[in-house]
Amino acid sequence: MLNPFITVKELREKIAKKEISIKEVIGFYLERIKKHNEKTNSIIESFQDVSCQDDSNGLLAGIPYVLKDIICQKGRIASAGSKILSNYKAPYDSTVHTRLKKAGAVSIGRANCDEFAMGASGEYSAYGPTRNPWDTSRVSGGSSSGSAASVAAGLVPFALGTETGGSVRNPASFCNLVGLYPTYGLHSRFGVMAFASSFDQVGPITRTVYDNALVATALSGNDPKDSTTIQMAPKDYIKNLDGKLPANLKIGIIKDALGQGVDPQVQNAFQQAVEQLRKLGATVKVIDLPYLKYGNAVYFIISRAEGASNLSRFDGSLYGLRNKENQNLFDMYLKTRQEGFGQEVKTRILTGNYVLCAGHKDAYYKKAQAVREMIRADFDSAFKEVDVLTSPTISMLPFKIGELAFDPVAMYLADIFNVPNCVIGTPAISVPGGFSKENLPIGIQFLGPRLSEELLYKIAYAFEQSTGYYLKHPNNYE
Amino acid sequence: MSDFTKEDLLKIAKLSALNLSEKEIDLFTQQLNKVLDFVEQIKEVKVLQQASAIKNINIFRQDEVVPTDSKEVLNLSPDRQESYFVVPKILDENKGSTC
Repeated sequence: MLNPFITVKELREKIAKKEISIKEVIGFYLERIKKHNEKTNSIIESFQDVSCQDDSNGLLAGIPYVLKDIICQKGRIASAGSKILSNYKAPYDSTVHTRLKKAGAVSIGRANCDEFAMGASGEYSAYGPTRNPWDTSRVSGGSSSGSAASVAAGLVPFALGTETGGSVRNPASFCNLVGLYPTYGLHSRFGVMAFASSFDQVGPITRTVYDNALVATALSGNDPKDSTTIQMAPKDYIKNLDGKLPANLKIGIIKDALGQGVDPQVQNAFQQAVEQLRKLGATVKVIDLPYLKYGNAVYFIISRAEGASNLSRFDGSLYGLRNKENQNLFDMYLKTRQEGFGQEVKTRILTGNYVLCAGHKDAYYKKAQAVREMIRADFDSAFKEVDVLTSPTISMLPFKIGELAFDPVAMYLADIFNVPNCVIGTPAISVPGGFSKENLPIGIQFLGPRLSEELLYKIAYAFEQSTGYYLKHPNNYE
Repeated sequence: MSDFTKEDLLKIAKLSALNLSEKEIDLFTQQLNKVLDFVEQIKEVKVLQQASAIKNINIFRQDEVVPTDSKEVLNLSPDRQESYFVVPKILDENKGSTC
């Protein structure tokens, strides 16, 4: 009936021409989730009872989507991938959900994710690991694991994820999809559970750049309910997508992308991508960012400090899980948190409280905040020389489930290229950039200065259309 | 090598309100040592400037009451009486606060 890997753009056209009704579209994807979800465990719950109107004419009329289970949908469970919120029903809608509904899109489920968005592989969910549709023995990437794996498997045309340090782009890259980390403050976080508040952003995960720009257009605009959103009117990110690079475009290759520590197959795909950008007319030069290498350490310290503080609210008193075998109030806190949180979350809370402790705060937290500004200055001076930067999204191929488990440092080193821009809140987009010889997806990314989303989409679209990697889909999901 | 000990971990665990198992105590002591070794590298950075490129501004809105359904929020609580959240005893007759 429908090609499950249809783009949002094509599906919109079919619905507009009345070739298929909205009800049929929703039914088709709900059926696909029933049939294929077991392979990837990407959806925690699908909404078989969803109601939809057949007369919407919004930007995303009739397009189904799923939300990472850390984004609230009124009346539905919002578990954050955690046991501690396994019974928590969101009492209100997040603004991003409201905006998608207003555009006519229809939510059909909750996507699996690393617990409280803490993870880079999709393995740390209380509801089981998400598997990569391209090879189910491998991770999907995380923390927006289910958002990416469900789109890649053709269970839904698009999804929203959240990113604190790579969590949208990392799974997008591992699953041959497009993922955006927008400028800090571009998308509302009202109704989105907090991990590290000075980094967290909501980002669309889609098959194509056009689809991504379409969803970002629907999400755009300041939100009075989130005072960290940028004061600006809604934007149209699709109008400039013409398949051409801007004239005289200067692209900087992040020097570390050419060095050791990057998988040779990833490096090879990246070099071909750079060649392609040259062919499309860009001037390319190598840019050294001397403070880039500290990005991960800065991210580690600040995100865990913020995470420990944000997660202190989960103690069994007001909502969520409560351990009833307690002697007194503090005992209830201890037992509820012990029972409700998984190991990755616990280790991050402990690290966060340690770096905030009297005696360590100056050496870790305050120092990290100062180095954060050095990284910002580094990128600022790079953007005086070039318009955008480029690198592989992740330095490695999707790894086997369990391969890097409980090595808190190894997994994050893969994120050397997609954490530093989150540290300074500047945007980046990951697009399909080729395949390894085992047929595993490789992503490449473009990073721009603050509020350069229009430019990033334009470049990413030209690259995507000239390479066509997005046309390939995983097997066994027909 | 970081010198983060089991005793350090137990102190932090108490501050974090986490009642860890023996197995977790060993695992997390090991993990935190690794993490602290890794982040140690920022100590070598000579900070040259502190000025932030982003100017934060205060965002104000009208202080107006909007209707909220408190019943729905209260219904989420593990234990309640009318519009109160019920929690275990906070004060101990002999020792004062239990926290």
